[in-house]
Amino acid sequence: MAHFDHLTEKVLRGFASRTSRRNVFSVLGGFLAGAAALPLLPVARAEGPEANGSDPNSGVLSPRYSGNPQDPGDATKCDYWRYCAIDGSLCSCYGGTVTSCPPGTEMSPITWIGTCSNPADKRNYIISYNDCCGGVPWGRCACQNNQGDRPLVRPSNNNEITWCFGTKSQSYTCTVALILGVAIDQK
Amino acid sequence: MRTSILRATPMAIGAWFAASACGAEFPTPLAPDRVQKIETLPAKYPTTWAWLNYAGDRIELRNVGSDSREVKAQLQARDSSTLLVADKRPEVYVADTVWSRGTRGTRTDFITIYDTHTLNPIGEIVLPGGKRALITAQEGMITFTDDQRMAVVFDFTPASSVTIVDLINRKVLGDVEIPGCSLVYPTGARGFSTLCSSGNLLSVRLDAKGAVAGRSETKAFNPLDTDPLFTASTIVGGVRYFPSLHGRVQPVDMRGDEAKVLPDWPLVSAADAEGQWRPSGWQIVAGDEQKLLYVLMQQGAHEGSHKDPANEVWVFNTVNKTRVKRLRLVRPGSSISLTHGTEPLLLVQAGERLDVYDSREGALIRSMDLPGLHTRLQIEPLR
Amino acid sequence: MIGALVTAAAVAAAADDQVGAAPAGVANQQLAWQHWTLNCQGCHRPDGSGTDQTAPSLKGTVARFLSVPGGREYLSRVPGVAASALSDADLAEVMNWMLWRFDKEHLPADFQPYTAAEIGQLRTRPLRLEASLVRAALLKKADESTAH
Repeated sequence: MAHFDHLTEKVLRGFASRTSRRNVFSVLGGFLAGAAALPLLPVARAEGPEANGSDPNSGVLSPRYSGNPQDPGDATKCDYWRYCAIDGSLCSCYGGTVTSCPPGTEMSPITWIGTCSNPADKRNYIISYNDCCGGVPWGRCACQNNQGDRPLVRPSNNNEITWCFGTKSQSYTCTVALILGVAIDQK
Repeated sequence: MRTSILRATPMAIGAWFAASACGAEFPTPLAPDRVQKIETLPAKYPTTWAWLNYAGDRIELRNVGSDSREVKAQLQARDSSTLLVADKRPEVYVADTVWSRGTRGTRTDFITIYDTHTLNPIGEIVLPGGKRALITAQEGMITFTDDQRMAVVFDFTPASSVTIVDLINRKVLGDVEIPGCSLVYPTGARGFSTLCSSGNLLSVRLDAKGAVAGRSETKAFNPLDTDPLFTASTIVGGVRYFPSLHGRVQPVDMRGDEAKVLPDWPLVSAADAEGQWRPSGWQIVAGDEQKLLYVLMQQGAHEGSHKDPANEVWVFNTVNKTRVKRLRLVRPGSSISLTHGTEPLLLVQAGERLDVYDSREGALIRSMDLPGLHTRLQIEPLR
Repeated sequence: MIGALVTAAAVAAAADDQVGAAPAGVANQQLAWQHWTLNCQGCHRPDGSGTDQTAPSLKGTVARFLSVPGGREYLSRVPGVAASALSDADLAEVMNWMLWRFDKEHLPADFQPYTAAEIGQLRTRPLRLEASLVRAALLKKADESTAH
């Protein structure tokens, strides 16, 4: 990931203070306590701004929904629930999808993994942020959410790193968010 | 230009004559620019200039001490590029990574050596192994040691190591594996310390050939699960200060061969605790020669807000560990730095602006654009 | 294309990890998988395969350390293990699960599962500069003992 917090700081600041999708619980390894109780956005609100993108004259990318009410939100927007700890560009805007890399790139098998709360079914999912590498990097659909991100001292919890390892090219393009499974809440 | 006049319509020619009539006011035409001139810079730059590293994508030298605010020069940067500014000799070093075919092809990690007077590349050191850490450019990815004769480069593959470089003879001396540890901070006469995931620091002493001559580890002091330290730090009075996510500051003395962890102290008093004031941003601390510590602070902090821009800069006296000032920023800032000298300027990156404040009174003096800053800014002041 | 294949493999691996008989020293397979996924898999990959240039391979290798003196200690002193965010008990469980999941073939018949107490003791001394040398020496010994 790394590199693009292309949202301007203004937007980012407003965004960060409004959204808190990550439901962190202490069992999930080392995240700070006190974060768990942050409120989740209502789904309808998360889908609000895309009305503009639906207009073919809007000049922006059209929204991309899963079509599954259990997986709500626009995969081209930073407030889609799976992106709760992403720092990078969204592959959905580059010819890929939320789970696939754009044509001509490679997906890194080495990734950073966190958890995000699904606002529809209220489950916590284990999400793998796989970077797509070797393609054309630029600022479209930049996204930075730092829920559960921690300083580089524990790299497995850090989103500033370009997670392009074991790929032919380590040049960053964009990031996808794969569901690995449902997290069990022990407590 | 001549061609276009010959081809011009009669109306345009009329206009041209009318214009040349105005030439009466300026009887002598401007002289032709016969000389192909390249600008040069002083070998030693004033402390009122600063290097601005656009998160490793672009590096710019900017005059921050004058209302002219001009760009003095730029250096090439491709990926996670980091800058080392020498004051022992007129050289600047940029560590960078490129691929032979743009974003693909053969990877090369290298340090370019620039002459500060001409900014011509006068040498390079190729770093082997394709392992230089590709991370949003930040402190700790490269450091001088051995009185600026050597550099230590942090590598991450995701195995951690460092590459030791001889900057005088412009060659790689070797590498040291530092599993479980990240980033590098200069330590002792010739060595480095690195932050380990056991919550401690590993200090490595190097010999004149860049090989490991000794090492030590501190006890665990960095509580990664509850209140980890940011990896951003600053030197005040010879001691390195790391702020923590929840608002402590941890001094570490790295002047000797072994890092010495000093007692930590709170940045946030009980009175301010209710406002959830915490350090927040990217390059969040700066220090000056009066032993003052400057920290970007944000109100209403919550999980995930630790890199958000902050509204204030709090200034602490590191001797008696008390806050001496609160500076309210005109625009929320993400990175701060102080220029050196008797009248330090406080530089604050706020979105696509670099705001320059009087560090004593906190008044905004001037503001300059940072066009195309889409990422994090790393500010490198000059000595 | 490559991306799609990797994705499919990752999902399949996640499903595989949660089936079959519980290995010794693993009270809750699902939880062990979760701890592995959140703390180890990022670098060691879903199937435990790796390279010398990235993170070392666990697949078909990791349990070989148990057959040579010092190997058992090595596994719990590797920094990624020793300094993980997991409690001693959770870490012991992940270790036992991982040995079973990625290298059943080399798991000694008399394998005694790691306990929280043992892990708690060993993890206080993480390997540093010498980690890869220790690893290479142990694997060499394991190769020699297999050859005999």
